[in-house]
Amino acid sequence: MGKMIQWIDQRFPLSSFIKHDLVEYPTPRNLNYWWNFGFLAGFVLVLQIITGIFLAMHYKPDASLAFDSVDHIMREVNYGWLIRYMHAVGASAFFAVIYIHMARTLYYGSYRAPRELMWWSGQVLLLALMATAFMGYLLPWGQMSFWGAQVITSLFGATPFFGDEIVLWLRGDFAVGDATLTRFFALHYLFPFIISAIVIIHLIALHHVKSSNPSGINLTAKNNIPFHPYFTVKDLFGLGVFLIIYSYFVFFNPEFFIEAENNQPANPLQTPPHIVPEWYFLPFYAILRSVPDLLGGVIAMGLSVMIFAAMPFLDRSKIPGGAKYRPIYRVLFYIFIIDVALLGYIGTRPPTDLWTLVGQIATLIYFATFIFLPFLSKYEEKWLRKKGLPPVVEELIRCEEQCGCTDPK
Amino acid sequence: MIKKSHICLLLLLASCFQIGSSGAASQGGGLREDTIEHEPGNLQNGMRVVMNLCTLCHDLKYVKFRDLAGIGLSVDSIDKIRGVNRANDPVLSKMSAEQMNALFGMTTPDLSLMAKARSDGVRYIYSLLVAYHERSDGTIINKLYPEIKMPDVFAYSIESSERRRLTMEQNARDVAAFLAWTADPKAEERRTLGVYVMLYLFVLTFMLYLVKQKTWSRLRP
Repeated sequence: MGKMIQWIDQRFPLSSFIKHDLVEYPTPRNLNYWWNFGFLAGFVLVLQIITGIFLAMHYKPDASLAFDSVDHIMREVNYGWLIRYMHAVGASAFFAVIYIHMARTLYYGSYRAPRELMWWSGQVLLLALMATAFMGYLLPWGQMSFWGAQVITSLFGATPFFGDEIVLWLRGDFAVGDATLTRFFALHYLFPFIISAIVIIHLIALHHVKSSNPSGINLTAKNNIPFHPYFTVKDLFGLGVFLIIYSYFVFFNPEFFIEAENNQPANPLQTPPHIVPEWYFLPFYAILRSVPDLLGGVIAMGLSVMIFAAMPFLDRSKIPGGAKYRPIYRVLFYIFIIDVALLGYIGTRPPTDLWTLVGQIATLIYFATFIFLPFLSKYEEKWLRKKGLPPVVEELIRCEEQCGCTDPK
Repeated sequence: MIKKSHICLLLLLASCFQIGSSGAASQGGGLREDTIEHEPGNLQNGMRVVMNLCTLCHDLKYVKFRDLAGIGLSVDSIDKIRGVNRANDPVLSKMSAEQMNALFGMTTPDLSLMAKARSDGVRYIYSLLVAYHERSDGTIINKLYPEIKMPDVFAYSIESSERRRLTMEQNARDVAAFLAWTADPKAEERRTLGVYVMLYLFVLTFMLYLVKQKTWSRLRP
């Protein structure tokens, strides 16, 4: 065994990689449990790929067979029901984990220098995940699959000059049909591997800049501890908690995230009364609907996802410690989170006058938190410095300047 | 098992009652709250009603006759139910799509997944079956779904005997319970396995927590 590793090490840096990036990888000891979600996202990605590959062995990407083949998986394939429910619940779990991962980054200001590229590669990952989830949702070929795809692809028709051509190009037909299903299947199979590649870029960046931490400063050597065993075991405990929640849905409430409508086969001649996207798209869907003009709505929706990328520019404060020591930013953060939840709820409501109005206000608040951030963050820093920073923050700033300090709590 | 007289009765019912009374105002009407039991007896009774009545017009194409062993039926009883069908055949309606179209102006929906294809589907099926009501002008309306084209198959709306109405309600509940099973036949297996998985995960996670505490306690403050 030892000889074999030696043979490999002369040709490939296996031992040094494991030592440098897994075992001894220096990790801030003050990370709290919100830092578990990056690992969990990686775990769910692997889970989705494995269950997905097994589903693909039995699934038929053909408009006349797709719905039946899913039912075949549920009834006839050995543990097919388990694999399919794991995959379906896994999609929701993926978004839940990613949204918490993003919220943690926002709360602790982890997007700030030098981690902008981590944030931006994460943004690309979010877009790729959304595309993958959207295409995967078509595959069961239920009513909501069909009509959701019909509505979302038609949004591209708002493109000036060649909107219709783009829609036709996306669908491969004049309406969502067999051509759409087969290409969505092919791309749904491809995208997770593109995501995996971007995850590797995300991790290379991480191992270069190292993890951020709740204090918001770069810690000195003695405040970092080796990844193994401290964080391997902490991540595994977090994984256990995650799996308990995940398994509850898989085994005891598997249809919770599946619209009843989607248990009816796709019928191009019958539009369901309410076309609702999956929960993880609802806030963005509410923003789309709250703009009266279609093109405007599509732009607003696209912007609402992409605007996160601007965070490193929008946040102009240099106060360390994330939202904990920044009262104005903290209020903005919670307003934003509550607003997103509200938008999500509005997304499920029929578009009556009242809900449209509430949606428009919530959309304004959504963008206002970003637009006012540069001014508020600058003002906040000035105000805090004038008032006198809390001693802890003073200590943190001194630590960072001197790069040798006592334990920052 | 399925008698010709039933089809005649149904055709009679269908032509007598004003099918698909369009324009009838939706009378709201929430779902019924009674407890729906899922015991083997309920499932088997529901199965009998479904086989005798529902499958006259509706398919259950995802259910095969041999699958009925899942509700505790013996091979002999399944053989009786399937008649000339093979055990591996799906449960299909006696009517062709053309006949359905002629009768209802539409093809009847498949029932295999119905309990999952409506929100609160099991309760919905039960409530729908006993939501028929005779109006003062003698027409029959379904209060839950006024646009429905299905006739009052139990003749619930015109039944005056309270005892027989209760039996019909019990049958409707059992049909709902049986269709819950056809929509999700692995539910019991899933829950049983789920209990073991959860127990395992609780123990594992608790032990991982202890290991984590032990490991981290080695760190100097």
